[in-house]
Amino acid sequence: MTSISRRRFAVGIAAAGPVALLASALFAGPAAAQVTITVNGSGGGLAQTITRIYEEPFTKETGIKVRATAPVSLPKLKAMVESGNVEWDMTELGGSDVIEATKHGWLQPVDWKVVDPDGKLPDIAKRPNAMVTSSFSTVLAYRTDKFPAGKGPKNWADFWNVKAFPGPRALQNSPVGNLEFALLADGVAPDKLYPLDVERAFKKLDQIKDKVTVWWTTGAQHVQLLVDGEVVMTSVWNGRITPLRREGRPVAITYGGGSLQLSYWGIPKGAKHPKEAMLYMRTRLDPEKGERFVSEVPYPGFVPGLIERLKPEVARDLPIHPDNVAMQFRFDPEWWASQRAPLTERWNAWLLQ
Amino acid sequence: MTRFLLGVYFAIAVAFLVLPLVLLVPISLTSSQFLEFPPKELSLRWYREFFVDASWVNATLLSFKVGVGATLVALVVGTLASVAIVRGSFPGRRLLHAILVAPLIIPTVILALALFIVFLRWKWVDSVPALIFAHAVVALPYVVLIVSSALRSFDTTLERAARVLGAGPVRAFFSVTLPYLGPSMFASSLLAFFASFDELIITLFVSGGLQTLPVRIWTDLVLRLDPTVAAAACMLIVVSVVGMAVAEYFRQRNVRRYGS
Amino acid sequence: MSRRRSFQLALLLGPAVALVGLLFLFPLFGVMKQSLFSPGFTLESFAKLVNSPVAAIVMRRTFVLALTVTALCCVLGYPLAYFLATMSKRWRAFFLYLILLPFWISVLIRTYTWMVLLGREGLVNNALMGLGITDGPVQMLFTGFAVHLAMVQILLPIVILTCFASMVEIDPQLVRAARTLGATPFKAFARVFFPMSIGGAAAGAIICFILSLGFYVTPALLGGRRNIMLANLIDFEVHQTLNWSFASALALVLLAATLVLLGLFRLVAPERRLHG
Repeated sequence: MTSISRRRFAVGIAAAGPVALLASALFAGPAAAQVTITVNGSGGGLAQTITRIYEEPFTKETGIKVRATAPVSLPKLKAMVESGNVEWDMTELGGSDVIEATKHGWLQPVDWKVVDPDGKLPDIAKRPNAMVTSSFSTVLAYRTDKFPAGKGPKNWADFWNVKAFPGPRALQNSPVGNLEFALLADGVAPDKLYPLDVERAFKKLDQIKDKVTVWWTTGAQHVQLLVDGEVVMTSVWNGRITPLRREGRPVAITYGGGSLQLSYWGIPKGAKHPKEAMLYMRTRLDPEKGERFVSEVPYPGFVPGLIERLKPEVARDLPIHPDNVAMQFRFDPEWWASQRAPLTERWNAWLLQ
Repeated sequence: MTRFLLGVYFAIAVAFLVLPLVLLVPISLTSSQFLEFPPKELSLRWYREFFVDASWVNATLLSFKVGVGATLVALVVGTLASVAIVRGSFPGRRLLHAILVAPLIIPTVILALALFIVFLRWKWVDSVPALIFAHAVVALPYVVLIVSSALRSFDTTLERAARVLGAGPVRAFFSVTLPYLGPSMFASSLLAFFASFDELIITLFVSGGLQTLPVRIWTDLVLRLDPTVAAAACMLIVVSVVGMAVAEYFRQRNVRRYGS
Repeated sequence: MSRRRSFQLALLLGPAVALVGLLFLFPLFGVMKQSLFSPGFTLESFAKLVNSPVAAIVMRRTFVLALTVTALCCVLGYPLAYFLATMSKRWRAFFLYLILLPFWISVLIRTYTWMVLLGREGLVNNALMGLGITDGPVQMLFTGFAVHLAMVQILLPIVILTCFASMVEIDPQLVRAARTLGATPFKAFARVFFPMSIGGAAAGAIICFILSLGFYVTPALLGGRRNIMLANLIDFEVHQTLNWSFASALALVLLAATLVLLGLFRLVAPERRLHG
């Protein structure tokens, strides 16, 4: 976030205070019944865009306020549901998060009659207890100024090639995705990845282990490592690089070998305002808002009519653009849902050695 | 000659201890978006940023609120307990003293996990009063240590004199002992305040969505390194150093006034 | 004890017993329970403690790191305390305050300063390259070196202080007497001063060791993949794998180690030092 927008944001808050106070004094009736829903997401600069495009108009239309929290955390969801003290009315979830949460019964069913009465959403975007909000990709990002022009890494084989592409690297501290990247680097075809050959993947990861100086845990962290020059390349979530490029930073991504994933919204079991949360969920079906959102953050959902509205140069950068889809692989959350726990254990042991 | 070498070594060591903190000051005064040393241009940009950003300001306010609350709880509870431990004679008073002081030395992560488990059950996660009491446990040892040691060196003949002159035990305590304890209580409450103000790990575990200043810094550190943190750190250093100097002054003055 | 007195005592102690009982002892008991019941009685977590390669490695590394840092602090700190104890009173007060200064600033910020200094484009690397000592940036951040360096910087004042406290109580006349009786300066130091100050050094070492065992912030921010300590693993088990029983078992290991060391401390340190 630039300092100007942050300042404007803060000034906005300061200005909104008295106005809201005045409004609530004037309309004491409706204000008393006002509901605030808590929506948990991944935070960061993204949260500001969501506030502007989705939350504020929603509050204006319905009178329901939206409080955004972060970060996405399955353990927190577990803790909330099991203790019955559910703070979130809705939360963002990754693909395998949804499967795990479903398995344990931490989510309540989505009433599609409320969210999508006209049946506009394609089936791929709907699960009984979650809706796809966006698609994103974990891709390879690099510093353009550390390599000759046009000679940056193109895929995971290049990431592993420390001779041709020297410099410290970063990867996520999780087996999820990294095992796939290792297999791709080792020459496995993208459509033949699953079920993963775990032994082969770890063997390949052994080669790069000591060149990876940081194992990142959050989305903002990997971006910072790249900007600070702590690493020359890293795996990133594609949308985090867009604002940096707009600021003119020497960073770029390649969709080669990217992991195409879906992100969901689910309503925790025991949430205090499920009805209101579903009303808010509905705002994601608006193609006009979707267009504005995607123009700023390249995380498109399956909004009917969205792609048609986009400018070609915006569409070109999206993970679901046909050219980009052809270079990526489809991440398989089903496979990971059953393997995550034992593989995380093995991953941690491997990392320590 | 040995003495000279030792002196050189001593100077290097002191620099090693103190210099990194001093270097933070110029770094925080940069006008650039990145951390750089020496800064090309001096500016208070990141200090302004701190006060303009609602999340920093709110975190600071919450830390003050929790800190003051925890200090008050620890001060009252700790002073009463110190009086009982030093003056009373009951079985297990040394054990009790050890338990009250234990949170100071036991690794914080243990307490963090323990409080997290019970807070979940009691639905205390994400609550400011709960955080205040949790911090009070960590702040308590400072009060108990300082106040009980002051009480121990207190000459009880003064209090007895007051009793002889006709004051009741409670009155004697309030008019003689409490004024004597005042500076120690003040010093210990400053220490208690900073114990809470700096507390990170317990807060990370039990605060839910609440962000205190250390948590705010922590999230910035694991996420990014922008100079706002440097500015915040410098201000915290100044506040800590001034606070501790005041606490030390009062403790020393008490020692001088009443002897030791 | 009269009824009135026990009533007074209850009034004085009640709040403390309630606070510490409810928010310290009871939760610790909860950790113990959590490690043994899941939900029925089971020793699974403790079995995992023995069988899990991660737990074994992390426990070993935690103890090795704590031991290394303690040894470094003692070797570095003892001569510093000696110099401090033997300088003139005015300078001594000044330097004592200076050494205590960082001690009053939160570990989080002290760790942060090292993040700023040790980065690839940080101050130290720029200085090294500027002076022509190295050609390219040296990887210091996210390494064991950074963790050691920062932990020593954070814990050194404690060791200096405990050593110093026992040294100032040694009567300088004794060393002088040894010298007059013909001992060399070294011998006077080794036979008179050193044995009298070793108690304070041992006490400082144990405190330093206990505090190092519980480190969380510094290894998390400055360390690489190998520098995971027990506290970090506990955090990981709670927040990532959700295995709270195992996290509790790990916490009990840490607690047991601390209590054993505290027992040791009571053996080496005179009573009064515990009470300040």
